[in-house]
Amino acid sequence: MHVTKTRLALIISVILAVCGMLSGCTGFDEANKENASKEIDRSEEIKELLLPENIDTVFDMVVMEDGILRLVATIGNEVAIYDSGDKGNTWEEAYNSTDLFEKAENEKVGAYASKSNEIFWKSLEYNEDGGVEGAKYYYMKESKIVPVNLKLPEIDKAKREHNEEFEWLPESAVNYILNTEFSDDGNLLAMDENFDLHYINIENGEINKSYENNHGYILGCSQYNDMILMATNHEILSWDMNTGEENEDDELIDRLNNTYVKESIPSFESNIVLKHEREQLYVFNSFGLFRNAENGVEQVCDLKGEGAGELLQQYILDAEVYNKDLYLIAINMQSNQYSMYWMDTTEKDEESVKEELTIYSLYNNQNVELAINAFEIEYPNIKVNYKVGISDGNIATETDVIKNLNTEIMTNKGPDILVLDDLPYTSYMEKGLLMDLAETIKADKYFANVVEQFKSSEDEILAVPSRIVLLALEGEVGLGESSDSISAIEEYIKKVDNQMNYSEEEFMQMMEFLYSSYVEPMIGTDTEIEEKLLTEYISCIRTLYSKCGYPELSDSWRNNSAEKNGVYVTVNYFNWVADDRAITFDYVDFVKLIPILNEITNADESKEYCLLSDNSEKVYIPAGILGISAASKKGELAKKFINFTMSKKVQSNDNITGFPNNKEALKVCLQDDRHNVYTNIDETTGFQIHPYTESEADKFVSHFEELNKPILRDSYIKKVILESAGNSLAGDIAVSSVVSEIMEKINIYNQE
Amino acid sequence: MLPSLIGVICILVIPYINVIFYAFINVWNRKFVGFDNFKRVILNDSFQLAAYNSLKFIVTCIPILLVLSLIIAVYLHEHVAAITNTFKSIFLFPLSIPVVSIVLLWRLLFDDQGFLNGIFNTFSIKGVDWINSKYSFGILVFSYLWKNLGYSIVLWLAGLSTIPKQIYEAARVDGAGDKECFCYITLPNLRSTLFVTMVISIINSFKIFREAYLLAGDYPNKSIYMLQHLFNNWFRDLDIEKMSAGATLLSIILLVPIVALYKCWNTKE
Repeated sequence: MHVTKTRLALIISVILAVCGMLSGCTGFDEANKENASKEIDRSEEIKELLLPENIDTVFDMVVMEDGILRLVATIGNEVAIYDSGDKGNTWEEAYNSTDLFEKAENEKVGAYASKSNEIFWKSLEYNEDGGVEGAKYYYMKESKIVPVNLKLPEIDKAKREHNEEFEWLPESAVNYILNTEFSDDGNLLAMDENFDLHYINIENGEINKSYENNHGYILGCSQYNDMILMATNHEILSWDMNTGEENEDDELIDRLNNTYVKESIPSFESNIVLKHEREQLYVFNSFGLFRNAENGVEQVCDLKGEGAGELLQQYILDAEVYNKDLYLIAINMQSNQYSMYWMDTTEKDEESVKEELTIYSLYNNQNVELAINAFEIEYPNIKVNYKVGISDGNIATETDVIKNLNTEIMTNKGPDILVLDDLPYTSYMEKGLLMDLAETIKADKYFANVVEQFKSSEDEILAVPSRIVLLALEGEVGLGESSDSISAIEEYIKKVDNQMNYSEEEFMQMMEFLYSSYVEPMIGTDTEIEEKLLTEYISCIRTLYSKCGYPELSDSWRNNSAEKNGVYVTVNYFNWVADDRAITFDYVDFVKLIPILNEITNADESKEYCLLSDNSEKVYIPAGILGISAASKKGELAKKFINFTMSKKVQSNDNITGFPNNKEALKVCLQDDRHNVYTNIDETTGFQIHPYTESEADKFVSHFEELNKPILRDSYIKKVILESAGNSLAGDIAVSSVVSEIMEKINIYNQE
Repeated sequence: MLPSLIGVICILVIPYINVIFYAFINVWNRKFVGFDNFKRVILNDSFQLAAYNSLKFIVTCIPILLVLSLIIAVYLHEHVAAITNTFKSIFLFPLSIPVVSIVLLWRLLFDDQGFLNGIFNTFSIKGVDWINSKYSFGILVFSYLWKNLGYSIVLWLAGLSTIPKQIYEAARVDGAGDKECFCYITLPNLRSTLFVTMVISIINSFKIFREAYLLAGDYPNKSIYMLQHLFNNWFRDLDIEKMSAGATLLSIILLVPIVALYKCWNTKE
């Protein structure tokens, strides 16, 4: 048979076309495979990559086992899967949905999970009104596609009804998957319309385990060891994979949630995603990618800087780390445009920590943890070792732990920085164990009156409180006039009608608060205490006790709104609001509480609150007191940390408890409206909290400049007084006997 | 011999000399201060109280312990044919119980809501806060005696067993009665045992701090505030100079009479 040139060309082109199609279906482009060995140009730290043309939405990105980068995107109602063998420089379409399954016109694909050669997706059927009528699921593994018959629970209408988290979700006739990821073992973690998470057998579509979620929309989820991790737009949570119980107290989760940068993000609705890839847990948001490391959370890449452009307006949709390559998919919230970036993580991975700093705190201090996280991000070549003397599960006494610390200090092996809150810092100051910070702390930035207490006789600043806590009493009108002294408070309590009902624990808290507010500030630096004051305190506590009702009612009365006849002593303003004529107290350690108290008292004329720092003795609690060990060989580094912690940037983070000891930062916090998460603190009253105006903020700053009575805690004296007072509440021992017993112990202590 | 000597020097002698050194300087600026630290210690009210309590404890407990244990030992030696190992184990049993367990027992007995007050309440007698009152001294004495009585008995029994029976037989032949035998034979022959028992008992009396600390904390009732409480609290506050001066004083106060006693008895023998 004679084959003409034309026919030959046609035959060859058909053969080539068929080969091309076949290679597309297998997903392995030989040409791409060759290109996979090409190295990306690492002369630049960050590069923007091109995305495939005409894509509408990028759903997912994954690096396959052979290094091929795979992108799952949509074009209109169709899905397309693109592969790149040259690290994102070029893309080849591997599949599109017409290749994969039959889809009706009104179907739209979404909710991908992909893992190397496996893909899971859904296809939703919409009705004319745009509501979802049906959902189909597919699972593809190594080119084989099977439908998955998922049996999700019914939509929980009761849950959706009163929960504003569901407001944005359109009504649908069926429950379907909103978000999904593969678990480590190749099954599926999927969030449904009820925002509950299910662990699904990918083969047969059956639900192995369900995890009830009442924390809102899940942005990302991951299996990590025996935990199921979920990220909402507020926090990261974890569930025990096997029992389905929520883990409320988990060190890893606390560490991830305390990552400073998470707290400082702009007001996006959603910007926390987490991912578990290649046995590494990542968290990423607009500021960058972070990963869980042995000693905390470390930053893999920083997206604030110039290299990645104006990324503050972008939201990181996905990230993949493969060897030294980091790939990011970002979406611009203004323009809805997708971008893809490559970053070189070589330097970050291989960079060794050059300097180390040790910080010690007797008890865990979350503010210090946040500051440490932020410091390590700011100075990635400095590693901070944070040691806590007494933690959960540690049964050592304070004395034993302090003795251990003193031994280390004596042998010059002590920490560089001490968090002095519960330590015998007066002793350290007297013995010259702390470094002078006068040149480190810029006088105009902090409240000099607060730092005054930590000055030596030679005017050296030996310690600086990083936060300030105020004290507030809340009750009926007239409370303010009675708040100037403990005896006046006792008279106020005597006039209160009916019984007071609270639990033993709440009463002890009230005792402690009254002690902190009225007795502790009067204890001199030489720890001398007046008998008269002690007598008045014991008397007040007994009066309060005599008005008590009893513990078995403590939980039920609080929840029982019908029980409003009595007067309730409570421990937080929620109950004060709910119940009539209560007296309660607060350690004012978050900025927004003052506006909340203002709203409460403005709304109800019978209520009044008073800041004890408004009284003649302007009391306050200095907290997060930082000092540098004089024996530290890293004095400059330690000063850098303290400077950083006291800076406006760190101090204005209003997720750190207490008020900042930094004037500019305090104004920022008072006027900050970014996190208006307190507006709905109480469903019945519906408070709208307004940030301070500039003049209100200035006035509040002046208030701080007048504080002059620090509560310098002495834990031994506090313990003696509270214990002795507590043991004598029944009234069978005369007040004078109790006082003399206390004075005897305190005298021995003082005489030492 | 040399390894032991090196060990003793490194673990005991050098630290001891270091303590004496600290007693004469300001630890923080290393300046020599002479006897200032000693003056501060001796004039310190808490030190005086602690020293008084410690001395009171020794003067109360040691005679009672020695006499009681001797009486029991003599009785056992004369009336019980063979003091078997089982007996000795029973005597030494209190020493083998961990202090924490003992303290737990005392708490159950002597706490304000404890067993003893419970019995009193049954008979409508008002209970006492034994641990946090002046009666805590009695609890410590009781605890000390309970713990060390058996040990002292064993020591006495060992001493009694070294006295030859022939001496007693010879004395009885000469018409000596029990009282004469005890005063003129038993006691003189037990002099060395007395010395050992007394020294060990005095040393053990300082260990009562563990019970006191676990029962009543850093600052117990005034009556049981001992020297170790003071040292413990000084160390917490990094008052190293006072601690060192106090420890030096204490070692002198203990060493002098022990050495004197030793020399005196050795001479007599």
